[in-house]
Amino acid sequence: MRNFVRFLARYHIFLFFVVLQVLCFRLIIANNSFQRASFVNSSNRIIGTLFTWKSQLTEYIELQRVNDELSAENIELRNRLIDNFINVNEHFVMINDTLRERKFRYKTAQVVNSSINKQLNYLTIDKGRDDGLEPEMGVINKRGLVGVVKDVSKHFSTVIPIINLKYTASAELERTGNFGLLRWDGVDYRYAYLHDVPHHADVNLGDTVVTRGSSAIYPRGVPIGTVSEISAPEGSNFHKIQVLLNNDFNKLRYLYVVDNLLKKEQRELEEKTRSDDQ
Amino acid sequence: MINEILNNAGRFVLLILIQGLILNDINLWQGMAIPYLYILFLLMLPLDTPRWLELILGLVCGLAMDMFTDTLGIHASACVLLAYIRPQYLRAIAPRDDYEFGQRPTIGDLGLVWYLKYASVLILAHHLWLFYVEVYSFKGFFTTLLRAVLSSAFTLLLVVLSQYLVFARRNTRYV
Repeated sequence: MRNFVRFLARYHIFLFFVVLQVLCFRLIIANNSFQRASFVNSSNRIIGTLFTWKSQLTEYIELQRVNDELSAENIELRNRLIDNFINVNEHFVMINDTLRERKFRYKTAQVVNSSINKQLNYLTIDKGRDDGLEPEMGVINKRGLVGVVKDVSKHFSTVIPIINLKYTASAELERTGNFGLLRWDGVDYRYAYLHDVPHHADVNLGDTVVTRGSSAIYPRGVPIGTVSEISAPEGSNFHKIQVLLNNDFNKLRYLYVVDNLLKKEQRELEEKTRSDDQ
Repeated sequence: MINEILNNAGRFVLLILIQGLILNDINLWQGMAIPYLYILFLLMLPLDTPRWLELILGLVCGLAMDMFTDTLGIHASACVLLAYIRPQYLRAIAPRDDYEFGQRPTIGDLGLVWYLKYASVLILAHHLWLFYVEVYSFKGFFTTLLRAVLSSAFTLLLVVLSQYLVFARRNTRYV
């Protein structure tokens, strides 16, 4: 016993160091789980407010480009207005459309903070629980796929973008329908990789890559990027496809958060099927 | 004593804000070099800081940074490591007749050569730990190594510059 006390007295600093490191690594590992209930991140009130001030300051520099983009989008939407169309046949006009049910609903949000230079990049956006956001909602913008909501606080949310090592999404080639897993390799924020597309699939440079919509997070067919390089690693049955991302993650500002109204139904059904198997 | 605590607290807030709001956005060669100036807070702690306190300050400093980067635990782990090895390394590179009372680990007090020796090793240790824990695997070992080394050089440059630009005037009083 006395030896043990002496051991403690001698190495107490080292032991304290080990305890702290274990604590840190527990945090890191807990951080890996997707639906972590966290309060120490940038959706935190204080940090979120700081980032909002910062983005208000830097907003100026971006105004011109953002205005151009918004007005281009306005024109596109204006072209779709009902006033632009005439009724072909009065008999077919329905007031209450029962043929379609709304599946996706969009909410706008602005980026208040983002990074592109790390392996685990995140975005912080200025909408939170109060605006109806929940974890695992998809995030897109005019140009295409951005990422998925990770944590939500009262007024802010954090988003895992494509350029985060933890991000994966199911994606397909628009022309042929072959699908694979989209992942970032941590090197260049302009490129991601599409894995698991078999050798026999017909892939051309410049093919468009879109979301597959299988995980009930994004609608099907949201553009992601274009094929910029195709290689065949030796001993593998799959292509390694480099995708030039449509989005420049260095310049994100306005985003749309996608709420899939039928997500719960799809998930529950899939869960039931899976548990019946076992 | 009170002065010392206030000085360090002020430095802590200032450095965390500079790092979180400005320096984290710096992106050279696709993220190959990121300066982490905030560890200057740990590098400038008094020489006679109790070791347990230094470890706790390391944890606090790291967690504060993690809040900005959404990487809970990663910076904390690297900072705790830095806080652990700093006193031992300080002893190893002590001048022949040990540090004098009231001396602080700055260029003004101990000279540029000593300071480079002091800062470069500690910064490199912190960065190596940080980058490998961030990637969480040894895949792409050399890319990560290169990132850590380049970032260390960048951080060291900023640390040394800041000593001349910001903290220099205060130091001359003690020399």
